[in-house]
Amino acid sequence: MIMSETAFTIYQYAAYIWFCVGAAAVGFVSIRDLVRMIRDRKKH
Amino acid sequence: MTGYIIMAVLAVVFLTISTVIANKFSGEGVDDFVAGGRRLPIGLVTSSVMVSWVWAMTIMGSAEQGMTLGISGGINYAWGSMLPFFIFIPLVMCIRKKMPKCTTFVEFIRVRYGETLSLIFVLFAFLLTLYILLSQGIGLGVVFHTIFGMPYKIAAAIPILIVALYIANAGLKGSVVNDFIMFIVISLILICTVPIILKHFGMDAIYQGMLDAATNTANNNYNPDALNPVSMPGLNYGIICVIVCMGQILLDQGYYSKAVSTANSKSLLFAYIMGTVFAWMPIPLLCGNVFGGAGLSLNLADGVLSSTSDIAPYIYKVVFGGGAGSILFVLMIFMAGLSTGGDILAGAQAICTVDIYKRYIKKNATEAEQKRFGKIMTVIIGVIMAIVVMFFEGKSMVTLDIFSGIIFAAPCASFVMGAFWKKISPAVATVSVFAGVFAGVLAYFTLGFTGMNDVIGNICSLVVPIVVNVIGGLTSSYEFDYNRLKEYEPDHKVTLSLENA
Repeated sequence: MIMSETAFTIYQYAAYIWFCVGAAAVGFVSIRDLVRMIRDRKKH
Repeated sequence: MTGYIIMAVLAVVFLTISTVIANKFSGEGVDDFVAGGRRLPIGLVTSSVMVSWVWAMTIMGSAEQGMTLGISGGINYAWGSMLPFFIFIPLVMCIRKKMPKCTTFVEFIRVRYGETLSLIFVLFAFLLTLYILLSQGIGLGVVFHTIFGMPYKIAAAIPILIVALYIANAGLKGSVVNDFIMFIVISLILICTVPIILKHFGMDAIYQGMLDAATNTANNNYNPDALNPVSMPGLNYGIICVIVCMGQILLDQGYYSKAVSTANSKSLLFAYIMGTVFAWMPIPLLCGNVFGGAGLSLNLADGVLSSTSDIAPYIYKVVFGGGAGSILFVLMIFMAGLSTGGDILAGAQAICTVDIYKRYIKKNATEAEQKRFGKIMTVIIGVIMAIVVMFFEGKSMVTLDIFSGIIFAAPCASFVMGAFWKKISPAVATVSVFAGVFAGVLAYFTLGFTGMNDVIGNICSLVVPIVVNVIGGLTSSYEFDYNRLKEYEPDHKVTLSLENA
């Protein structure tokens, strides 16, 4: 079985977009929580 | 010189962060130190889970498999290495529900199966710690030596010492915050460099090169399965990944500590699904496809690479030139190695602090003394491994990797099944662990003529204990009372998670 060029291209883009979306989502939540942690510390 | 500067700068950054965390954010008790007070922010745990599972191997190994196995290399690396998390997540949620005051998996084993098996699990946990530190140290030593010409011994030992110091300094919280920095760096490098690499080689050229490797017998890297996403060699590799990673995940206390540190089960589920499926899984797909695929398409002659595991740094060097490309690649590998080492050391520290000191060394120890012992042991483990790794210059990790699968898969069955099935007795569980190791080692050494002895050895090590436990459970009248888990009181003060509070 040989993957077609179209499927190969879609696969490459999909893997990249998947990583970008995943990393951005995790990055966003992490930064939000880190800021909250620092703010809470300052309040106390 | 560049290598020394990178190491020095990052050492200062991570040690400073850990000092700030230790001084400003750490609580007083053991629970704060090893489990972040069970209220760690979900986002930080998520990035920590993701980056802890990014080994130097994840980047270099999946690229190598992409070049060796073709398109199926990255795919099988990804699913094979992630599947064990789908055993780990229900397991840790079950333990959390049944044993609300549990911090380490050794505590669970002690109450469920007794002292003897818990000590065997402590041994496995420490062997895993040594193996993971060794493999990260060797990886970093080779990369810094190859790219910057740093002496291997220094390049391999220093990262282990850096990790040991910042984990000893700030415990789990320090590890998680440093992991966040590493997550950002690895993600940014991959997000920015992958499109540049694809543009440099051209998507069409990569495909045509791989097609040539699949159809042209004169191609240096001829492999008829190069563009076959469901090839048998790829599938075999995926199965080995599942078994090797099973022990590496289930016996790594670092993952339990992170799971316990979340405020409730919903946060735990979010952190592990987001960290593994959404953020981690595409990394081996990308590295296998982009670095491995590009390497395959180049039709490299024998001798261009010293081994196929060098394909990822080679691609960075070709695209970005020696200087910048090498620094980017080394930064990524350094962060990957440090975060993985930090995770396993934080786990070992938790076991030393919670399970060893008060129980076996000083019965009336205070929590401050427990913490101090955990810190000292972390530094001792770091120093020992920094010395040991120096003797592994030029040694291949392949045999050790295969053996790690055989050794660490054996205890998994009794651990997982014991959490869900009351019929497994301590004797049966103990026998199953030894039977698994014995069957795996025996298969490895006696089936060499088949060429599949490594695969069969790994499968035996995982499956034989399952069979022993099922037969033992069905034929014995033993029944464990799960209320004993619920009533468990640890030797230190514990803050309950929100749903158990």
